[in-house]
Amino acid sequence: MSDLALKVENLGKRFRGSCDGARPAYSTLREEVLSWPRRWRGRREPENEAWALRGVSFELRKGEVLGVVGRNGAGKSTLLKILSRIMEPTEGEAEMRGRVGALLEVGTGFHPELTGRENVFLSGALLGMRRAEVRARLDEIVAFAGTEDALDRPVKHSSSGMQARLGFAVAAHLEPEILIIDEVLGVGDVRFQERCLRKVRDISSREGRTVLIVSHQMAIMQSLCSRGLLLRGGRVAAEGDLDACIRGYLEDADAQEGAVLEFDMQSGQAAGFVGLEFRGEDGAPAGAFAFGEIIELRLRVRVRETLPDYLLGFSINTPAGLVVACSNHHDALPRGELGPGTHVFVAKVAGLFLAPGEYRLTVALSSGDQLTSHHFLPDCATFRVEERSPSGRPYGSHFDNRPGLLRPPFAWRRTEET
Amino acid sequence: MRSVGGPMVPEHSEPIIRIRPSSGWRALRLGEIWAYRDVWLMLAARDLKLRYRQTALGVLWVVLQPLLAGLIFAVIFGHFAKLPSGERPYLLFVFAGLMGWNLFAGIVQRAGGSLVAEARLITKVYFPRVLIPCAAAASAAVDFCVSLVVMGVLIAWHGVWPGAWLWLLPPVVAVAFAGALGAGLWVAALNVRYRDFAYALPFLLQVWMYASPVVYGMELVSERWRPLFALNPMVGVIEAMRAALLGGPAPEPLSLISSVALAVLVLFSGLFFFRRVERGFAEAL
Repeated sequence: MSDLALKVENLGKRFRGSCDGARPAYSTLREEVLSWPRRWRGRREPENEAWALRGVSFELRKGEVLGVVGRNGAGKSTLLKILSRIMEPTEGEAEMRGRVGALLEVGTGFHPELTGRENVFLSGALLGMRRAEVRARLDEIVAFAGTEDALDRPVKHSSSGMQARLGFAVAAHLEPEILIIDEVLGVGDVRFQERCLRKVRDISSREGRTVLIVSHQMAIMQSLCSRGLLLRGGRVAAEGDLDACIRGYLEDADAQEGAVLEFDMQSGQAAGFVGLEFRGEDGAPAGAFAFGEIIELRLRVRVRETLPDYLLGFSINTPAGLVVACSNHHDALPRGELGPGTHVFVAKVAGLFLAPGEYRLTVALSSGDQLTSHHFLPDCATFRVEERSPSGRPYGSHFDNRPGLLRPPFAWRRTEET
Repeated sequence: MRSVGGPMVPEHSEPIIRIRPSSGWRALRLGEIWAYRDVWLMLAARDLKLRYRQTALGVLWVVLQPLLAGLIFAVIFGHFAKLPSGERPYLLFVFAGLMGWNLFAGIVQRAGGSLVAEARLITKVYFPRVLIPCAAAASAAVDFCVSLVVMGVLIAWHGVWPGAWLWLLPPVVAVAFAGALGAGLWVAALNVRYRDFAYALPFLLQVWMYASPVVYGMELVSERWRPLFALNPMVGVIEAMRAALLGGPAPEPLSLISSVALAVLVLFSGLFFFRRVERGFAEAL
């Protein structure tokens, strides 16, 4: 018997229209009826078809942890949805040995009116656990989440962070032979995140289970994964060596350069970024800034359904994936909900002393204390810091080729000892 | 360290899951549905808890709703329009009819809207999708049990005793449930594909209700039209429900046979149709 856990061969998925939003995957009876006469005459509308995934093949052995990386739209989520049987592939096939558990969302099936206990049983059943299994592990699950006292209250009374912890705890105690995790390791506080990472490491190394992870956090990938898979435009661009995949991912510049960017929202999205703009100190849109210049960042957010306890944040990264600085609106604006409409968030970034060079911006919007991610655009925009000083400011020696990410002013002094 | 087996596999065996494109009609895979029965139970239990916890009147609402509808019909059709109801009080007559109808319509409506309501689950986790409308149907069937209790009180109050036909009740409920679930499966699947179908449904159901002997008895329908009415499976269900709960007259065998045959047909066609289109749900929602 081989120790192969997963074999994927030539997997492909084609979406009808829904991918670029030209035509939704559902329609109305009205449209259908109105299109009949045309179809009878044999004139079918050309269908907008796009391959989200094509020709994907790879194998995984038991106990291996595969990190799937790629830009937004590279096909990562489609791959995970096919492997977790939520969607059928259009071509190719996959063979998996053992029970498959998929964690594509934290707190699958949680309902705010139900108590913590009821939600654990519901979510456990949805993820494939029998009631007896959940009952046997209830204490463990609750201890892992650290929510003992909130177990018999409707979860709407507990903080969303607590809900997220409970949701992850249920999934962490599933014991499938193959575990699929999509971008959910970032919930809760830092200590809980570490507990989650340790759990995943245990699952693979101690229990010999196979894990597939999608994450945009390369640090997580590097600490957990033994193999990598880089997707680019729905195809496998690299497979095997994790570091090579991560390097490839970081090189994939899908960052748009320019002062004013626009983003598309998908039809089902409750909220998302629709625009991003950089402005310089003079208030004019700019894609390049003088050293030391105050950078004004304007984020346009469209909200369709009210977001409770929303969180909007961004990070400034180097092209190599290092986070230079990050911030979210809690730093200066009150917590609360965000109603329907288009909102503009303005953040002025001053005093960064970024060394001249290229930087990337990642923006994220979530709600329910990060329980639900609405829009995550990793490295979606690029800006440059140039070797010039804003008019009238002395920056003297900052323009030599010294290494280092920052060029803060150093106050040197020399005194003589007497 | 596994102490308890998984849903799809007995302990120690290693099932092989094959994922490949499928097309056309597919087997129902009842074994898998059975393996996931806890999902059905949990979803149905959730629906019930939410209904009774969220509405301020809770159980009272479920009792009052059919009772008030029965009273209104009794006043309008019994008192004003003076529709005949045989020897039985019109209120009981119409309440028995409403019980049969509401069992059917409640299941169709709730099962029909269930997939769109659970869009989030469908796009985030795998389990046999058919469990969603089944759970919705089960929670609608609980309403029927409540109204059965109300009916018990009503017939005791009026001193009417169900006669020899009482044995018909369980099979009639089973037939109504099966037919309603089948129709609910069709509606649920069509709802995903055509979002405006949800607007047409209440109207269709209302027309259907007046085409069924809910507020009137079959004796009002002339002989000429009876065969046409027998094509409506709800005729047999409602007449049999009345005979079972309020005693005679015996339901017509033709309409009973048609009810059973159509219920079985709708249920199985619904199951197979659902199975055929369910692969596209995650994309369409």
